[in-house]
Amino acid sequence: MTMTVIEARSLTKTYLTQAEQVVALKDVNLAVKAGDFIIINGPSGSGKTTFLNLISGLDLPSAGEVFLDGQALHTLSDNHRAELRLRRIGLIFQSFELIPVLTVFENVEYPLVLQRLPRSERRTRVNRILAKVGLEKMAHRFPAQLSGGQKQRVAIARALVTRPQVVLADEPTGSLDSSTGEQILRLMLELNNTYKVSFLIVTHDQAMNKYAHRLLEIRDGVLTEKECGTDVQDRLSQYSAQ
Amino acid sequence: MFKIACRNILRNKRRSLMCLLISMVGVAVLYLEIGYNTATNDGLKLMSVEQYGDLQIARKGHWDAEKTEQLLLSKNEMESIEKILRDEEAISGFTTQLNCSGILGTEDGSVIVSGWGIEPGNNLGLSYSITSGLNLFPGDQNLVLLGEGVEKKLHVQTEDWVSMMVTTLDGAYNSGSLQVSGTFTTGISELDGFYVILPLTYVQTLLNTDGVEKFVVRLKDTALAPEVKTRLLARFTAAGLELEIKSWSDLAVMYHQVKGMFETIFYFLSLIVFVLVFFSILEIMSMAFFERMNEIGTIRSIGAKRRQVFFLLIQEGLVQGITGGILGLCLGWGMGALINSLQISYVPPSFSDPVPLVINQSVGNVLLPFCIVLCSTILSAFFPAIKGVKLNIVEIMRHI
Repeated sequence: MTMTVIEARSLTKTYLTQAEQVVALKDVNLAVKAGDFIIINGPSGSGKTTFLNLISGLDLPSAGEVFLDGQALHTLSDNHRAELRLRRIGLIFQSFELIPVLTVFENVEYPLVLQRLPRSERRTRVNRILAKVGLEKMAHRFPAQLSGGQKQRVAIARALVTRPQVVLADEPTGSLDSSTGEQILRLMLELNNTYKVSFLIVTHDQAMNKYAHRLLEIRDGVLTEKECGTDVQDRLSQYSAQ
Repeated sequence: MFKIACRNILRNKRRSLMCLLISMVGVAVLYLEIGYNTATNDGLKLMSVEQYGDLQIARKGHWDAEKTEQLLLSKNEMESIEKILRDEEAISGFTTQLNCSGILGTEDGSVIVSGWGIEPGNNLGLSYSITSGLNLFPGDQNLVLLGEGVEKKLHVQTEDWVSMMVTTLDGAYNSGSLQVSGTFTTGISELDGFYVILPLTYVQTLLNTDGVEKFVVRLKDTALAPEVKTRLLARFTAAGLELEIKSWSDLAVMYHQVKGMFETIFYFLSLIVFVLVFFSILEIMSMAFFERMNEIGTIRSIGAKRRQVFFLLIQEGLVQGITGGILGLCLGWGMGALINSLQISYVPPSFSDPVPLVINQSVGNVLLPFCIVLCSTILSAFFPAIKGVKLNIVEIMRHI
């Protein structure tokens, strides 16, 4: 039986503005299993980012619960949630969010520094993941010296270096051209297959849907399951053959 | 973490340079101020020790009495005291003094003077320098040294004769003639216009006594004064002598007043520097942290705890403070060396001679200016750091 990594139960998030109460998410239920590659579509303002914030523990729901690794996030302290994010979740952002004063190597190493891992282990892990994303020769470059696609590869490496159970990606191809975006998606798919790490990607780019293992859609705060066309493994085989 | 702090400082060079300059100037100003204070205090301490000796011994109540003549030490007491002083290894020398007040005059005029009766050739406990004529030498009997101001008031010259009139201990008038041996200055114009120096035996004859007012003691090391004082007092008590001992510090009222004044000025200046550095760097740090809000949000979303982010930001203040502090000390040291090499002098209030403007460059003066500016810099990073970590990650990330 496949293990559930993250589970959202009856998740609701409302914001109180001066004029009215805005419902950003409405009774959302989702179970992310180990090894899942889930894409969530939705237009701007549909609640995609709010959903990612809630299941990553960055924000707390107005109602409902999120379970990560069997622990209800809303019962944990801010520090405890940060600790869980550090060890169990990898985050990827649309605009990469690399630390500009650190090199590629140091950016990827940073979460391991926060984990207080020994230097030798950090070096091994970082070199391995950089090789995997094809950036081993750019380890000493600074983010400003990289292209958009390379930056996103660094962000992916940073998200995966801690060996998380799930990677949450918010519009990971949003700042890239379509060709580079496709390469990044394929890389994530490959890493999903290699490391058996679950990926939950929110995007409004429908072109990426073909890679989804599970396809979901958020519209007006309501999450619905969509039919997924092709088997992921087939697509990965096609990608590898290319 | 430390690497991020250092590189962030180098990231915006102009802003960091501004922070460094502010802390550097702050440290340099305080270093020079404390160096000047220390040098002045050291000079005053030396002057006080020369003026009063390390210790003074007199009959109990001497320093509180209105008429000290009634509390003179007898010949027998002097012998006992001398015996005890000779046994004390920490003492390098001692002398006796008998002071008197009276009228010094010539045919043309007179002035009220205070006379220091000293053992000629033994200047312990009296700081003066001869400005004309000759000093008193052992065996001199009826010679007098006039303060520069006394000489001017009486219009006399070396080798002229003057008369001194005093009241003896019995209350009778007595007078004698003295030849002017020379003039002296104590460095303080008010004293120079009032004091004369006479041979002790001459003062004893004038006052019709064989006693002395006090013993002035010099030690091999001034720092030993408190412990020697305690030791001597115990020995005097054991010998049945009712004596009182005062150290130079007990007697040097002016030294403590000036020291207190300089300390107040230093604290006031420190406060001004602290506030100036704090607000200047607070503004710069707040701007720097605000511009990097997305970075702070990313670091926190990766999994850094509030505490870790807080220390990351504080480290920037710490690095700025330490770097600015070290450079400020170098600047202060350079300026101090320059001032010392220029040999600038000035005349302080009530002094008759100029004194050199000296900056004490000792290592002990480094710590306080450095710590004051470092605390100010860290504190100026503290508030933006607190504000930064308190922000909601979702709010920060919304701007990404």
